[in-house]
Amino acid sequence: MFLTGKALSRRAVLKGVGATVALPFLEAMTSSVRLRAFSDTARQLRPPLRLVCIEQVHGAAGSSIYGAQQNLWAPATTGRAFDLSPTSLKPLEPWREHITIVSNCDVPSADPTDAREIGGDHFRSSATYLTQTYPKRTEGADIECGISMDQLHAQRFGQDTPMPSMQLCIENVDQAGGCGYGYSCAYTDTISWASPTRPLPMIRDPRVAFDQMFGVLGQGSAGERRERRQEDLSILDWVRESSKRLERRLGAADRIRLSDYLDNVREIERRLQAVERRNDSGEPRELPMAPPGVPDSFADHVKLMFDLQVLAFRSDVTRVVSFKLGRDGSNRVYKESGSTGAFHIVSHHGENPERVRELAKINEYHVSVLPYLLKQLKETPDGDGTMLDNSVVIYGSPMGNPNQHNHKRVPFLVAGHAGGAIKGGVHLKAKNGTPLSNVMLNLLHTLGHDDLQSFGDSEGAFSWE
Amino acid sequence: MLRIITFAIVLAVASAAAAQEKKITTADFAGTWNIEAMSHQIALVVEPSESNKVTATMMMMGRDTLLMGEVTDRTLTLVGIKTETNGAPEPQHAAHMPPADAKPIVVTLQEDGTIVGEMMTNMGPVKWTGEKLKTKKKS
Repeated sequence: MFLTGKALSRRAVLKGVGATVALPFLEAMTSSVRLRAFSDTARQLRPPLRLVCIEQVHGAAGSSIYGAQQNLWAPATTGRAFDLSPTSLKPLEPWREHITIVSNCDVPSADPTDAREIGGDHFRSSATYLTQTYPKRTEGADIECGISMDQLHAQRFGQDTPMPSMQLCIENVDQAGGCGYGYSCAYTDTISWASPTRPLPMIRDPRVAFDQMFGVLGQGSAGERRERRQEDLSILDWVRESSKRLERRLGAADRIRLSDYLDNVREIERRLQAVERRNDSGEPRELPMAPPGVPDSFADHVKLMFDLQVLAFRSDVTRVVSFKLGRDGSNRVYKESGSTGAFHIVSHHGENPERVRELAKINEYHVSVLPYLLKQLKETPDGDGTMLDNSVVIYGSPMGNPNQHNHKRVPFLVAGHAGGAIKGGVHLKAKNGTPLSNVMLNLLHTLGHDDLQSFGDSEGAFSWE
Repeated sequence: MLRIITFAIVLAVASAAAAQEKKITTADFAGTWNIEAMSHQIALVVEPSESNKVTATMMMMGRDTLLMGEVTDRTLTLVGIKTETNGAPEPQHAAHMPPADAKPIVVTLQEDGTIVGEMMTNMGPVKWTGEKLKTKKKS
């Protein structure tokens, strides 16, 4: 119940000196939304659709001939009765009703077009993932690719939020100049392109993402911000007065919602501070070059980034996220996967069945972090349903068989239901030679880009039927 | 009648065999090949020169090995002339590239249009496969 009778704006924030905390959706905001609905269309009452685009770098074991035969990625059966047990998607079994697996697609825009491009797949494939466009081979400032699907969505549906989109990553992406085979590092460092010539930087440090979300970035130098963090226990201390004022205006249910939300902000902040304390302690680190806000554990890092994404969605700071889980050439060891080999070396499995299976373990480990995001989305009420109902999470790779650097049979799946437009619980196998851009075109239509005729090198929209 | 049928069968088999043994020329090897050797991709560009002779360039990470060769039956035998690094630093995977003075590279054209070959590298003899690069528009 809202006591004052005056609607709270959806854009209301808690403000303090040097920080701005956006709010979750509160009942107090509904009356203003309803008023708008009367004067506009009922569409505005529907919760917005959120888009998360995740890149699993460097393909999958299941994209090799042996891997495909053994169903190490795509299940053997299409339709609803698919069996995930032999696949790297096994961790998604409890989520099968919420996922749509689209197998057997290719990314031809990542293929080499001339002799000098042969072998340079690592250095261009990430650029093609969300653009589905051929990247111009250059190390200079004349880089050129295409606009990425997350940015298409952000430019149309993300302009009302404080941040039209967020770009996050797990491994270092701040390399300058040429990365190899005559390709600029811009092609390797990001999957988000605001225009064909404007790649967007990705944030690796959860602290930077957190500060960006709460308007702390730009408030003094990094050192000053750090000093201030040490003086105050929490960013919530900075907005305490504002928070108290707001609470007085809210009904009981909203006060609980607000309290839960701020507890969640505090919990994420507390974990972030724990990581920073550990990494600043002088203890040896597995990632000595990483900023102090980056956890050494891959899973901890990804989970923290997922927490920030969900927080950003809850507070409507943004509705669009792109997230790059690594680098093709990374030699990180994922001990938790059961493989003790370095990632890139394992990925070049030489088509040896035993080594293909070792890569499949790493793929499965990467997939195993996804339920953490899905669970949070599902547990977040949104309109008449949950945030998972109103989200599209894509998870895939522009690379197919990493051993051959090909872009055939690329791994790809969609989680979430796009406001009911995607039923989920199905495995769809595309016809041989179907470009992944066809699937992305369909997804863009589903997300509201009905007028889009083509996307990247699409040949027509993929049918979900 | 039986003689006529037998003759026709013999003729058909002979024609099929002749078709199968179509003379392979330098044109069949011409073009850009994407070679996979020891899990790495190498470009091989073959250009016909005169008669059954070709010139070729093997490229990997800015390092080019210039070669010349000769087509005999279904086989192209290439020998190195020199290696150029084009000012680029020695590539990380240079060991997979044959030095210019290595033993000849033997390339065989398969029925399906792919090639297989063997070459000597700093890591010993390496067998590889290759397929013709498809041309496509760039955007």
